[in-house]
Amino acid sequence: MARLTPEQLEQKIHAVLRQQPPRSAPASLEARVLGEIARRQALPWWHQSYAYWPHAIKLVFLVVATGVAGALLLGSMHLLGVISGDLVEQLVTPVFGAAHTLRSACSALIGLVSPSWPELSSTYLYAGLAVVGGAYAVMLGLGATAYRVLWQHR
Amino acid sequence: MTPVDFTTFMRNYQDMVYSTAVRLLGNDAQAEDISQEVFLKAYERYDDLSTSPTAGGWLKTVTTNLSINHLQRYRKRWSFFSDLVHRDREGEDYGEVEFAAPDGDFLADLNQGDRRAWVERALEDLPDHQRVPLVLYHFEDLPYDEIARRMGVSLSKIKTDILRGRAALAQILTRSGTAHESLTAQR
Repeated sequence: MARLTPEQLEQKIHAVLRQQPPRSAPASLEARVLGEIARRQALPWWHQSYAYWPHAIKLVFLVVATGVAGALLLGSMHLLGVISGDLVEQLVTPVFGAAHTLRSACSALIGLVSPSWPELSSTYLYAGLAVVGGAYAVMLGLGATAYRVLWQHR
Repeated sequence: MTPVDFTTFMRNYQDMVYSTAVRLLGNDAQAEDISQEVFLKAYERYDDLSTSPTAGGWLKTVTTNLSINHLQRYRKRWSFFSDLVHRDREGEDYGEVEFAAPDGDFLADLNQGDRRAWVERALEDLPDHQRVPLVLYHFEDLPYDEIARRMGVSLSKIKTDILRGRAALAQILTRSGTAHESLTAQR
């Protein structure tokens, strides 16, 4: 029975392990990696990570995300009483300047044609909004169902 | 980038990546999964890696980290029980280790092919909490404190596990070398 100090044991084990050659990778590894790369490349951009989105989509996403984040921040600060409504309006107005212009143009157009419209009661207006909302919900449900049935399990 | 370039890149490094993973994980199938994940990450950064002189080091680091993450994620139990067993022995000073060690090298009587297979088999037989730090220390040349940091355990536990791993490995190798056992009979 031999007695080895921890240092002697370390040297012996180190010598044995460092003589080991690399293990050969299985032949299937290369095919697996290349197959997975091909599968990922075949996915549409919205199924891939952000890094692979088209540059135009990335830009739009950044603008929209920044707008939403800014609106949430301003809204939260306004609700908490940190900033006044006037200040919010001052900050938001330039951003939505283009939207204001578009709304004014639409109002003018509606003003031109409205005399020829029949008088609508508020009941008809709410009913119309409900129909539009219901149609939107139905289309969303149909789209989700079609995706799950026809696409997700392919 | 063309697939041919990346295929050549992969062929150059796949044995190194797979060896690192299989020695850390002790499981061929899991090592292949981790190797695949490593090369998919490499593909995402291939523009940088293809011309980098440190690509091999990057691949080895990613392989090591993914393997340790895999073990920590899916094998919490061994860590828990290992901690229970070793907690009251932390810092214990180990003196001489006694076993039937040969005068020369381990497995000196075996031919090179059998010897390599025995060592790999002996490594796989070690429990995770001994094999992983042992591999990081002897194959990857990481110091004790870095191994402890990466594995998220104390320095004294790492030293204890490595010492016990060496002793266990030596016993397996000594037994197999002196008894001239058949490798296939052991499997």
